[in-house]
Amino acid sequence: MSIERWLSSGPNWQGVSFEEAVRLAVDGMAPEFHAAPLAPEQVAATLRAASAEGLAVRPRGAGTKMGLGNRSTRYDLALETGGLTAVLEYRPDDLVAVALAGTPLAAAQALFAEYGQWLALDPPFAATTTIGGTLACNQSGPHRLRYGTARDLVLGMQVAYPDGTLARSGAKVVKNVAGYDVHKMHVGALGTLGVIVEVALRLHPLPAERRILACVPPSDNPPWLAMASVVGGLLRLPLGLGAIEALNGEAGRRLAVDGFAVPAGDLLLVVCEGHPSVVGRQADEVGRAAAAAGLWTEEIATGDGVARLTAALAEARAPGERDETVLKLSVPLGDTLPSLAELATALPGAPVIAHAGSGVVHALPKVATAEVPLLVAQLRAWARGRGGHLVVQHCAPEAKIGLDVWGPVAAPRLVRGLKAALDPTSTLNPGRFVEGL
Amino acid sequence: MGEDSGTPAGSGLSALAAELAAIVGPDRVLSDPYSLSLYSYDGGTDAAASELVVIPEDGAQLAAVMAAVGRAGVALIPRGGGTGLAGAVIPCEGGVTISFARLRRIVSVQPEHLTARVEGGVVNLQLGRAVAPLGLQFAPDPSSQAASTIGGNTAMNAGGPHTLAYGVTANHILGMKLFLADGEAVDLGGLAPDAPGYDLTSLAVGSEGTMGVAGEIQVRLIPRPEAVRTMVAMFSSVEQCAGCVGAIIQSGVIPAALEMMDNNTIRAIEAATHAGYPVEAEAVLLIELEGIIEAVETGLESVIEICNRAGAIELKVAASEAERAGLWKARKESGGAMGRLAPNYYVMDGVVPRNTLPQVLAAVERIAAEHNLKVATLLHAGDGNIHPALLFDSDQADAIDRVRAAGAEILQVCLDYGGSITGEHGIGVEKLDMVRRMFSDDDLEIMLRVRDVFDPHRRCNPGKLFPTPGRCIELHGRSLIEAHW
Repeated sequence: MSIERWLSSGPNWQGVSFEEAVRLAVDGMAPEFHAAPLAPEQVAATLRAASAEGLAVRPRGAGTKMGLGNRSTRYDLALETGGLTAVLEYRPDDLVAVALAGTPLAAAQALFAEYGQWLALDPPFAATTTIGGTLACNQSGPHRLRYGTARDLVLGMQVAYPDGTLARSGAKVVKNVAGYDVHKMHVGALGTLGVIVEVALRLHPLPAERRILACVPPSDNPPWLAMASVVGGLLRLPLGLGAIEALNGEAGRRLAVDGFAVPAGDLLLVVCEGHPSVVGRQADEVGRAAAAAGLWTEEIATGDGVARLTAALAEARAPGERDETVLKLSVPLGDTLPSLAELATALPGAPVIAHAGSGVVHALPKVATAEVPLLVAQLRAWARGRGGHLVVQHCAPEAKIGLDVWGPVAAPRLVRGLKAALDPTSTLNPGRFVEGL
Repeated sequence: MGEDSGTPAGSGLSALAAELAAIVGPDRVLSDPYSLSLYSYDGGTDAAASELVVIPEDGAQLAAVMAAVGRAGVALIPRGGGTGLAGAVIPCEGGVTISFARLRRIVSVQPEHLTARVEGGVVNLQLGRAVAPLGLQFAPDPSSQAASTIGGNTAMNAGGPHTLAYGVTANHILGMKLFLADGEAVDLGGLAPDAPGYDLTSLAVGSEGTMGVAGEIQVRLIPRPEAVRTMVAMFSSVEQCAGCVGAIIQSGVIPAALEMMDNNTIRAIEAATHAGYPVEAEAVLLIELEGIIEAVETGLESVIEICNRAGAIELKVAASEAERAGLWKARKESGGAMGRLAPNYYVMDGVVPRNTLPQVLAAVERIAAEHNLKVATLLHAGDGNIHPALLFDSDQADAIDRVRAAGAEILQVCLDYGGSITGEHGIGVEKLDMVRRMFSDDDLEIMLRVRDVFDPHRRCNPGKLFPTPGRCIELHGRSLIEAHW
């Protein structure tokens, strides 16, 4: 159907069948309608119509992170971006690409890889997630150490707003200071201010060589202090390491990747990457820092294995089952390893895994649904005491009743003001975001 | 300064002036015409008279000043080093200029967290020098870094030659204490990453002071490189040189800096500095590689090979630190050197996709010629950020008109190739006429809605960034003369 006909054909959505309702249900709520627009203009038209009708809209890419956020207060219409699938522009000799939001991340990466490039994001659900969903949820992975997070990689955006406005910010070039960086506000906004329909992205060259080294402490010593000194030392050198991950034994067991022998127990995994001579030097420095702290070093992945293992490291933070609790704690950089140690001690049996050079720790406690709110309250108080945050990335839907998965925000008046200014009808994801927005 | 202060020139501000004087002391509130004239312009070409200038001494005074200004409900203009080129700090709608000249304390440096917290008036180079002994650096290095402030860099999202490898200012700001127009202070971001809620820090960076005033800023520090190698590649045509840029970008080598200069620029800076640039080359690349020794050596090898393949007629690797420093000093002082080519010059700032540089630079030459102007072009080529300087003589009656016309055409070319009207200088007042060529009314409407959340009465740095029907500024006496990179 042409866009014109689609727009003029009455309601921009259809009722959902029982099967679709099951597929689209979130936190025990199923929508009455769903829409699958095929162009940015259709997204805007759908939002405008839904806003006028008072329907609550939940944007959905591949549906991998629908459980992120508080329980929505209303959910009438699932707006699926699966029809917005295309890499519209790709300039390998400018390291820039423009894609529609529903484009599967993996498909885009496969295209970029043909030219020896990639979008330097290695989030959980990388095999299935869409680019738009990854950005809206501000997902990142081990390589955030070297390349930063989505805000550092997004050059521009087109966004559809509930009043039907389609608006751009940024540009399609790597450097630009014209206008407000509205696109960075939409990163991590969970589609609560508008629906991302198109993004311009900065790409990076794929490194010529990659290796993963494991730094393993002796089993009879408390390892975290030694691991912290290794990480601290490496971060003070201009090595350009790809990633430094720290994990306890339980998290290591989640790395069920064929063909890898990940050493048992607590350890560091360091991704060395670049020109072969650079990788050699990086490996030497890792080995030296580890040895000085009493750890031994072992190479556990090379070549294609590196991408599979880093993907597994990202995936280790994804919920494995419906009721699994995934907590994301962020702390000042230098407190990452001590925080990991305290969490591992406080949560016996829980996988705990950190982006050790970035201040982000994920914990997956084995906790009964009824106990989740209390645990979150305790750990959030602890994180805030360190100047940090705790966000519940996933938990049983029942556990969300009476729980704020986000915690307090800075400048709540501005946060509420932005929501009121851009989504005054509370059409988008009502109740799902911070401050009950 | 104190003896210069008197009663406010502007009406209605005398009560506020008295209140501010009680906070910062009478000699830190300026209102006499001479002092105000010093705050009427920046490094660019526009000017407007200030009404009142206040110079707070510390964070407590700043908070009290912001509260008083908020209560008075007048326009406020934050001012750092005044080195901007787009007029972003000129008080074009009157009000109070808040000078950060004395807010120069480095509040804390926490090497274990790779961060520092600074007052907005800390000078870029001052911070660099303070953290260098720790083996750390603040990466953004605008050419104005000896005078420009972290607050100004943040407000304008400043760039610099080394942003190619390290990113622009936005990539290095972790948070800030932002004073809103009503005097309220909000703490955005901070040491811990990924705070829940909207990323207000990223939104505020580059907003040209139109959302609020950053009192303190939390910056990211990175390790200093252990090795640096710098080379110059000479080409017999601009086209070959520009093509080489695309080849380097696609090769996967990321130089720390990749600067390009055309023959006019080379001759100007060589005459001024004798740094060793080849005046016979039509274009040169100044290429710097940084990092660990292995990365620098292998990167240099690759770059040399690419330059040779692209047709470079000569390559010269700086043999000593003195030679390297000379090449960079000449580059960073290129603005002043332009005076040797023509009585006046106007520096532009646009961005294009890096693969289009050969066509864009040809178009720049053509447009300049059509307007009977000479042009000297310098580029942060690695970022696609072009800085053509239009050379002219303001004694010629229509010169400024020709410069303005050519400038608009050149920026239109940047847009036609999918680029931007500014890569690092900002919109300020200089480019208000160009904004609508880049953004639609809807784009701007969304941005204004965002602005009004932060500053509902549009008192923070009014008249900047957003096009408004009437312009309130005038070209000042130095118009189009001394702008530099």
